[in-house]
Amino acid sequence: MEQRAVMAEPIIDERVIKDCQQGDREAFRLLFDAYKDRVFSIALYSFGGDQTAASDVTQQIFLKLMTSIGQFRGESQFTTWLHRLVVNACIDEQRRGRRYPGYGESLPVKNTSERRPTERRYERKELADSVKAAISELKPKFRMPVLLKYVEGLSYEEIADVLGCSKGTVASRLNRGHKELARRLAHLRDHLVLGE
Amino acid sequence: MFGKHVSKDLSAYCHGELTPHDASVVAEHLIGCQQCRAEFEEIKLGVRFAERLSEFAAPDSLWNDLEVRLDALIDAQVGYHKIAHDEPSRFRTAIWQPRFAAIVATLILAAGLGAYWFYERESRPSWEVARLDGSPLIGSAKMNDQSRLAVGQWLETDNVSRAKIQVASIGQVEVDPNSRVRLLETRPTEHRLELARGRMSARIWAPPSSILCSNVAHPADGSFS
Repeated sequence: MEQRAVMAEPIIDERVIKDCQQGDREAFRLLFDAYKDRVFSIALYSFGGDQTAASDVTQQIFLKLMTSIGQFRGESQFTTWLHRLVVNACIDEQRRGRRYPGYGESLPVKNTSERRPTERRYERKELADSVKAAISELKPKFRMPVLLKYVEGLSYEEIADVLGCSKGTVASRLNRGHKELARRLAHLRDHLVLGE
Repeated sequence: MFGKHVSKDLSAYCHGELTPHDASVVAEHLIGCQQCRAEFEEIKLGVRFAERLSEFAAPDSLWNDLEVRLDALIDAQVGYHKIAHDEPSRFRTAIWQPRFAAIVATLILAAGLGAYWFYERESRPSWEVARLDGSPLIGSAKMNDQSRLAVGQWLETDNVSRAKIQVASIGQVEVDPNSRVRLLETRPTEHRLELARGRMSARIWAPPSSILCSNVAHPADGSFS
């Protein structure tokens, strides 16, 4: 699975949205290409790295997008509307009671002292996997603001719009999310320097 | 000296989401408050871990899979709309076809006749009949231990069967073997039985002048054969 460091900025204007509302398959393909990685990433982090589950939820989100885009009136940013779909789909899917394997279950993290030099090259990946595992173990109400902040790069105000809460609530949930991550990953503090 | 603790603002402070004034308040507070400073270190560590999150590329097959589901969804919707829109017009066209109209008229007539027959059958006056021996027939059907004889129906016994008819509320008639009896009429003031063959015995509680026996040899003290 390819991991991207730089997020491509989508070129989706009002015209494309209107064409999608008219049922234009090509316009929908443009929309899909612009947002598929973001949507897939949020789903992947939400379902413990289960690529099949993330793909399935991503498809569900775009199907929903395609069938309900006629209801988009342009009263909010299109991305805000899309993010709401993503957040709701991920939370709904988790409420259905499915259990997805966490990263931590398949990739146990070792302390640096236990590692041989040949394993060093894997440290960055293991660190990343541990962070993903910790993220997937957060409660959805703490995980979603973290994902919207760090994967989507949204501001507090934008996150508040997506989640339908106040900026203060976003700040509070991010506080809890950060503390949880620090607590769960404290043993990897030294790895941060290596990974940077 | 330290004022209010600023722990709730620490993530926003890290992300530069505070106004300059609020940011300076937090910064000044952190200098003097060890508790908030420790919490700030914890938040910063969490932020550094969270900054490891990055975007992943969706699988290349995703669009093809999505198109398949999209086509299936559109087909289902088109099918639904086609049925929803086409069926009424098909029905409107069909209703004017002569054959369709004839079938509908026949069904309506049959239903009407059936309803009339059922109503007549149910509303016809009838008397209660008890089986005494064998298997008497009411019409062409074998009667149960208790049946009803309606106006116009025949009660027939063979050589081993007998039955007893309750004549409204005024008496009883016993029908002997090898007999055939029909209920002609029953009204509050008049009850008529026809004996086509065989023999029947009646016990009636009514004034003698009210009892009329045709083809009967002798009345006797309220009962007659």
